Amino acid sequence: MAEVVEKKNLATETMTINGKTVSFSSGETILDVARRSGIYIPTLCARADLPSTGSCRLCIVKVEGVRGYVTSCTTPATPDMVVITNSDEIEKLRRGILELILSEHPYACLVCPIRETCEQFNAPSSKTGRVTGCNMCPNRNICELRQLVEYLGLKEIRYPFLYKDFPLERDDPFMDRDYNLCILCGRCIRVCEENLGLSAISFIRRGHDTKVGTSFEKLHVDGNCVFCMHCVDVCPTGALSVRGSKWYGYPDSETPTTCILCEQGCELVIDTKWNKVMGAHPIRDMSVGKREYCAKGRCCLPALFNNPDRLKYPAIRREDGKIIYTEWDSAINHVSNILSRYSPAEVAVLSSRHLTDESIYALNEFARIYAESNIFYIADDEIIFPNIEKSDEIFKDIKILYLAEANSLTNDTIEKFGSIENIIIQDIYPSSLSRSNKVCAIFPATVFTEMNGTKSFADNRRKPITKVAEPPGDAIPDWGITVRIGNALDSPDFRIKDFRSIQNHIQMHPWTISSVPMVPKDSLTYRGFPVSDFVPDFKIFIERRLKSKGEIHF
Amino acid sequence: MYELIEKSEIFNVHKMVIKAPEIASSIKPGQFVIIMGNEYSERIPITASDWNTDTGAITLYVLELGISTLELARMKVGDSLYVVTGPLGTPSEIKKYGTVALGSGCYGIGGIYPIAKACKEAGNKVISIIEARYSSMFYHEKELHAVSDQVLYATSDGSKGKKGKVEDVIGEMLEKGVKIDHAFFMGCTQMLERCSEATRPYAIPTKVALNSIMLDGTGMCGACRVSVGGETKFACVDGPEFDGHKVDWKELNRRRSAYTEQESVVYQSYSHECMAEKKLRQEL
Amino acid sequence: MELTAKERMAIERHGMAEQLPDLRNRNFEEVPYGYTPEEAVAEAQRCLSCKKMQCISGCPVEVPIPEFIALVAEKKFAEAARLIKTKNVLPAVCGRVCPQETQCEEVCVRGKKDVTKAVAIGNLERFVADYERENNLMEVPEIKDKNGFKVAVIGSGPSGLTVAGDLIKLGYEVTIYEAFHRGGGVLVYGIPEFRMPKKIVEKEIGALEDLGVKIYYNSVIGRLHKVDDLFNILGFNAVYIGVGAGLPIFLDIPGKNLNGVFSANEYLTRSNLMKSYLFPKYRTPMIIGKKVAVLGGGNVAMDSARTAIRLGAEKVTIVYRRAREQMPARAAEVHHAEEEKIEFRLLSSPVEIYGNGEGWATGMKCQRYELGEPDESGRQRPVPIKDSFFEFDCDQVLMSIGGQANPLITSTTPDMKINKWGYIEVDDWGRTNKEFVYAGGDIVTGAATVISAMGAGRRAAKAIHEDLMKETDETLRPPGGETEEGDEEK
Repeated sequence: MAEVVEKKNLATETMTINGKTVSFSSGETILDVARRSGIYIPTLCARADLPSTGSCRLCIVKVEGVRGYVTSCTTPATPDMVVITNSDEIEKLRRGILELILSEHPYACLVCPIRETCEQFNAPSSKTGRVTGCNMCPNRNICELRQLVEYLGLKEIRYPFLYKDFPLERDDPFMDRDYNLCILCGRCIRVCEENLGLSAISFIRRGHDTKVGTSFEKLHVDGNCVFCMHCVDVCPTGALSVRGSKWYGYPDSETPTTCILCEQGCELVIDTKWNKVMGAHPIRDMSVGKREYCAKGRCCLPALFNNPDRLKYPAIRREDGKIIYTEWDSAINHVSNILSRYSPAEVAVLSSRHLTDESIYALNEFARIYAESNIFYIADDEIIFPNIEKSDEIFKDIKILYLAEANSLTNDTIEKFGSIENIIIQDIYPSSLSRSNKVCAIFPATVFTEMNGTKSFADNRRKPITKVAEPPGDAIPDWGITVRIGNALDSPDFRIKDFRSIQNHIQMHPWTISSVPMVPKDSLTYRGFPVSDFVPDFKIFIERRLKSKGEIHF
Repeated sequence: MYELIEKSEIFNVHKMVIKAPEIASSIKPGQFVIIMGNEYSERIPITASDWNTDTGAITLYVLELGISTLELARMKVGDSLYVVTGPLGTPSEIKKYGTVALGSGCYGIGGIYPIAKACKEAGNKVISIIEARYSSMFYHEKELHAVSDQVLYATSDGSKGKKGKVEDVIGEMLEKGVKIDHAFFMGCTQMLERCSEATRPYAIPTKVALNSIMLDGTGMCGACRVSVGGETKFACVDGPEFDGHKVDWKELNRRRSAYTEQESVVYQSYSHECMAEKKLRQEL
Repeated sequence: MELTAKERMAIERHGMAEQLPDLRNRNFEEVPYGYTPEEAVAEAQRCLSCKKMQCISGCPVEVPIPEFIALVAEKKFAEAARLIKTKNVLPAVCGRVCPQETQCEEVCVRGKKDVTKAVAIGNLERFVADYERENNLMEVPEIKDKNGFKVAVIGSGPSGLTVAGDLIKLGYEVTIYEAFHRGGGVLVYGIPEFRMPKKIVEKEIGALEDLGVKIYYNSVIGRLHKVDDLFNILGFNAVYIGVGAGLPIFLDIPGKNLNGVFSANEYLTRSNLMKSYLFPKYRTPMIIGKKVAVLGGGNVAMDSARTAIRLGAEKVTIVYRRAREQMPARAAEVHHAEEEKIEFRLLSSPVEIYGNGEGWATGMKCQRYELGEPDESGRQRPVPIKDSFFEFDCDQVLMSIGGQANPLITSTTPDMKINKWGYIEVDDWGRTNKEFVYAGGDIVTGAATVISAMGAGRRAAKAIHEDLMKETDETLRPPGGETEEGDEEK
């Protein structure tokens, strides 16, 4: 795992950078010190959270008394060292270095005099396969090469462009690779080795032919890559990109939230545009230490949430048996009328591990008052009761089910129930159960990117869930649905009325949340739905990985 | 039907040679075809670069620029296209003009070849000017040389010909006093606009092949409408060539970017193996 | 069980069960569910079998209505369908889209005072056609021996399919040239899935192909081959032109080329033919406006508006220059549109479409009208009210104000006579001024109905047969009764 250098000692030594006296602690490099002191040194291969190799040479600085120039990313700071980072000579050298790097990278647009007008018309970039210039590059808006060209004021490249002519690598799920853009900085290799210990990629071949690749140049899906996309996120160029989310250009907003798909609770920034979730990526700030997220949160969210089959409107079954769409009020009334015919012992609630704490609490409160605490979860076909007094025994008396995860109920599980007369579903997609003629109402719920709240993850971490996009149609958060039904049934003991009251109650009864079973990191479902059903690349990935290795890890 | 008999790529431009004998025998320079790779594709208009009435094959140069052309790019020899409709559009007006300058870039390098050939056969002096970012991006050069009196190059990095673009080459020629009687341009919208501006001060009749978004290609929907000289024309029946000095370029650019949202959203649930699955379903 | 006339008169007309508006304006399934067999029999028993049989004369192709209804009453559904098919090749289509309320049902004796009480002829036609198809009872009709003549049909719309169907049975070799990649013409690109399910169209065309009709898709006559080439190079003996009137008309007002402004043709073609309502599975994109304005008052306008609301528009407004009674759309479709909460702004017409800085439509300004003096057709002409305007927000404008003749064929056949609006001139039987070239449907009359196009096709088929074989075939007697020899009939 990459670790920022632990500063055991307080900064006790001093040195001079550009005439300014700065303090440092032993073990830091000149680059570390400069960054900490707010002095900018351009880099390409160095990153705060990766070990340095000094291969790009852009960070060269002049150290007094040392012949030539040294790379600040690999040179340890020494007491009373005098460093110049930005003399004319150094800037000239840096431009020359960048020119050489760019001579093997499609540079035409970088130094084109009419680039601005062209990019006004071609916004976002043209969606091509082979990148021949910025106007067809998916990395255009965040490209570090462009930023360097700007910073160094590079206006012309004196070398003709040499195209390496590597074939495009587009046959893997999720990831597109165009190593004709690669500048061999090695960040991707370092992050795969250091961060994940996977070493799925390395420098292969040699000499001028050197490129980044897998062993035996197999497809990533046939190797041990887990498609976490950390390599894509450290790449300074557009050589690596996520196919499903590379072409939308500048997002309308970038909002951090927490991924709810498993117990890790990774922090992700969600890009939205046109009011939809378009992509997810880590915080781009260089000083973030450890990043950890997987293919699911990084690549699958847009396809998982934007599918046109999303439930949008509340629906109820009329007396004549037909399902009709209707308004919330009449749907809630319909359901509360049906529920009030049953005694609490006849009601059971299926909660979902993929709901926010507030939604889970609301279901628990509902179960406590209206279902005799008959609440359970389903995890990989196993039925889990958070209350130890409850067990399968309760099922024979159940006549009505209130489900927040309908797709987890298989035919075998339904067999356990005695005689179900009615089923209430709140969900995000139609499931096979939603077609059963016992279903009396279907409510459309939101996914975690469409609501605010909190979620408790492994190791007692509780993190915020932030709304980033509007839900489709009339969908509302799960807790909202439960609160409405609960209030319509009118028991004075049902204590929650709104978001605030739920949050207060969670504070008073934390056990309700801590008893929720965790979703393991290697889970393949969201709310009972297999992610493969909605994301074709995911299906390919897990099928091939299961076939070649028998197991899958993210 | 519509079997792909040859395929190669040069920098996103995919040469596709397709068997379509009826189209090959009736197509004329300047006309285009509309193709669909499979049942789910969009209808894509592509200029026909070459055709052979003996083999019944037509040659198209398809620029990969979105999901439907991506699927076309991934096709292999032996596959069949779902739809090849044509010929569409009004053929180029070929006359003995005198000296004709033909400027093109990108997919236009292949697309302008039949017009150059026809101009040569009509007795014109043909000057072909082609541009690319780097010299390795040129293609169809041998054929162009065969039908042109002069082929001039323009590259962004100066690796071949003049360092610059087509309009720089033309501007230079016109400044030197070279007489050009007619100009044809084919390429991306910005290139067409800049080249038309280069010929405007010299009042050279200029035809540009527009690249509007199209749906049916036979004039029944109006998706491809452009404003030329204040009038609304359909690029699929009145065009695709129009007077470059009268086109409302701003409107054309705006109309061409009407679907950027959908064009990027469609990649979210795309998987390259989808094509293979779809083929399997079709065969079942 | 024989009912007396009094008992028949007592039966109320059976409506077809329909999807409720709230449910239906979210999906693309058909709105009316169709009769059950019991409902069909009961409705058939309402027919009084009058001697006058006015209903037949109300039908543009003279379907033997009382006869087929009598078969329905006897539960002989497939036989009824076959009987209809002797006159109407596409009963499943006509039962759904014909404006029966202005044709057969208008003159039904039971509907004399109120057409909504007429015998539900259209519903019954639809029922028997669906029954025959769904229960695989379709029979292959008798085909005469090949007579060696080849006929080319341009366009696989209703009129082209009718000509093809008639002539193939008479032993001709028939080839249809269709510009699109799917056949059916307006049936496939113009009328939405929820009014005309495409699998029905596919099945009907498949039946024609089974009879031996060849269909070449992606073939644009006028470009691929000219009409003269069909004779000279491809050896056809006769050519029928049924290409429709698909050239869209745009209101020439400022802002008409803004993003978000579409012709109804484009909107419907994207949705129906290219199945954009299933985006992103089908890749053709479509703009889904939140506030949609539809210009026009015909069936196309209703189809566009109802498609927009199904695609998720928050508000759909129909803007029409005249008054409600003057709307050419079928009353049933206007009614469905109202049920689906589509708003109507009548006696209004836009004068400008507003746009924002990025070239997208944001709203429109409309002129108010009032009804003034009647014009030659007898309808009161709308007159603009001076200085009376209103504005409203919209981000999508669908222009469905009519279609014109597409000049692709007429401009490449310069010696064919056309009128000043570009429509082909024909005699009463569909003959153009060019020998052995015939035309029918919208390319002759301008935008009209499916059934009138089929009637034109029927007449033209007879003319083709006469001209080529120099004989008259009894079974082809088209509506109107009169043949050129001045035959007696009825």
